[in-house]
Amino acid sequence: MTQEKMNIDKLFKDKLEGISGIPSEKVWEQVNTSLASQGMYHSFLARNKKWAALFVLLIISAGTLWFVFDAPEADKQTEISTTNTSEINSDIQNDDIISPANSNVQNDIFESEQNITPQVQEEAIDIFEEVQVTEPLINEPLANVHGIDAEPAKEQADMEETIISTPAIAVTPEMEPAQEEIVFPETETKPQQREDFQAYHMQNSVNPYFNLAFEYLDQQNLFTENNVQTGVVQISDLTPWKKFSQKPSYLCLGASAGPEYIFYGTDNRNSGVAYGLDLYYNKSGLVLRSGAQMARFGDQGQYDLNYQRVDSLGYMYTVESFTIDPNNPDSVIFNMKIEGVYDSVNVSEQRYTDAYYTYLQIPFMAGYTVAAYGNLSFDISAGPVVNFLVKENNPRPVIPEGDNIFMGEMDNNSDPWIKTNIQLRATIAMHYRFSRRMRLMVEPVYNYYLNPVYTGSIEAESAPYSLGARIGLLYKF
Amino acid sequence: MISEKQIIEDCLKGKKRAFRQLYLRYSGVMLGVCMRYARNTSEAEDILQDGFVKVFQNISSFGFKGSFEGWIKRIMINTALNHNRNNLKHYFHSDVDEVEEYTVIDSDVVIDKQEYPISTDELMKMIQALPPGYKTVFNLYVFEGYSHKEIADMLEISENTSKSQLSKARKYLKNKINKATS
Repeated sequence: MTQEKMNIDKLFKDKLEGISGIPSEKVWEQVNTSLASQGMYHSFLARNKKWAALFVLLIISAGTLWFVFDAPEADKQTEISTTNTSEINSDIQNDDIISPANSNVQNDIFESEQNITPQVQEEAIDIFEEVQVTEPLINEPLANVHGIDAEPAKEQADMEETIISTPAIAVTPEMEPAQEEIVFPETETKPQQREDFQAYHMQNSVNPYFNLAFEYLDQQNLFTENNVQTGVVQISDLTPWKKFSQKPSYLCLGASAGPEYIFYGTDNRNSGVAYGLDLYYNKSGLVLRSGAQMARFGDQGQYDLNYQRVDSLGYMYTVESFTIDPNNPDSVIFNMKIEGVYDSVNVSEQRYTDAYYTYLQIPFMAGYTVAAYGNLSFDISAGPVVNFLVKENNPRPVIPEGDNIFMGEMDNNSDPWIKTNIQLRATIAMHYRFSRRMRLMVEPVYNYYLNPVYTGSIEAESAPYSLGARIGLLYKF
Repeated sequence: MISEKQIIEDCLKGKKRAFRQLYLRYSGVMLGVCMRYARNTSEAEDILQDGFVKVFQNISSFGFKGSFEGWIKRIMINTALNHNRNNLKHYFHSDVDEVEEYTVIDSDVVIDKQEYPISTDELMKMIQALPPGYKTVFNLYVFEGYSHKEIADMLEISENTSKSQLSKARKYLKNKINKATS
């Protein structure tokens, strides 16, 4: 038997070095919880906050440009031509389809048309946009109904001559979508003729786009009682953008204020107040918002004080002079004075103060009116808000006073707040119109800051957010 | 397979998935390290948990210099030392008066090779059963390769105390092995 000796250190090292185990799942759960509470995890948005901010800015900029400048189609004018009603009355009256015998049918059709909802109209636009790219689908049914020899390649002048007697879609020979148009002929000026006119188109075309075109002309007051006109409607005028651009808009200026709570770091929160001017623009439910607001947040300032305090320990007698007692030469008379005995103590302590930081906030938000009930409406808006630190009020603590205090150094160890920041803001605003010009605005506000509140501290690792509420008044111009 | 560097970079970006991957990659080995410094598995998991939180908190200071596993291991060891610091002080202080006795003890305690058909689990339990002071010095000296001077600096004790703790640990372990194999 080999009596091989083995170093006990080597034994343990060989056997135990590099061994591994399987920790229980709760270890990761607790690590995960700890990391999450410390803000170690960054969401996709937080990791790409610069790109996200840039993206939002681009969207807002594009939306603004879209609002401010008209689309190319807007340059195309609606062609309106007036013709002599007497020249065409006979044509229409001779038309079998619109004869008095069919008037009841026409009225029924018109009544049913009035029930068309906006959603149906939107669908109608979609349908028509699909139809207009295929020429035969547009022209063949119309030709069959009206008995026209459909020749899409006819010259425009010939087309107009034909459609005076029979309404139809006239498609230019080039078949360019931008040149497509709908032509409405002139009709009689009888009180019921407007409805007859519409019913006529309803009956003679299954294409619901006629109704939209009719509505478009009607909005422009072309069907007056004494002067019924023909209308040539460019299809591009009926696009959603064109319809949108013709809808009313309004601008409001107002003021609002409200509390705000900001949450940051692992367990920090501070209250604040925000107030300022609001600029509000609404066009057919689409909203642009800006303004200038001040947001003031409170925080705790921290100062380290070092001073020397002299404390009395008691008293002592000091001999100022002495004399020999004249009555007793063996004794000495001392002339003494009492003096205090002091000791100096170096004191280092932290003092906390109430500090305030005020930011100028410039919002660039876009949104939409999601619901309206009478005088009440609700907007959802979102967008970036640029923050600039404009005022920092971090007062020095009260320094201990007294003859026994000798002040040393005082260091401001308050965490510095960031100078500029960008936040993404989302709001749901309720507007209540209580007069023609004035409206009350109430809105909860959520802000997600792309940068931390502090610079150069542990708290800088986590992105803060804030919750607030605003109430304000808007004046409509 | 994602490289270690990529995982670390993703951790620096705050990707939760990367933290999880890094944990899965090293938690097993690091548990083995923590087990040697702890009294039981539960305590080892506590140390492991605290250690990994520190690893993730300070991962930005790694700087890709040297072995990442070695870096994590050092953090785990420091966490374990902090975990036991109060107990360690007590044990070290009680040994100060006995220094002279142990400085002369031969450090090369040997056992018969055939006498230790002992499983890894049993050896681990023996180490875990060591008094904290013995265990710490034994681990730092034998497994981590620190010198007595380094251990003394690290634990704020004298070199002689470190030597005496190691000597006692060896004798303690030898007795345990002998008892287990007898």
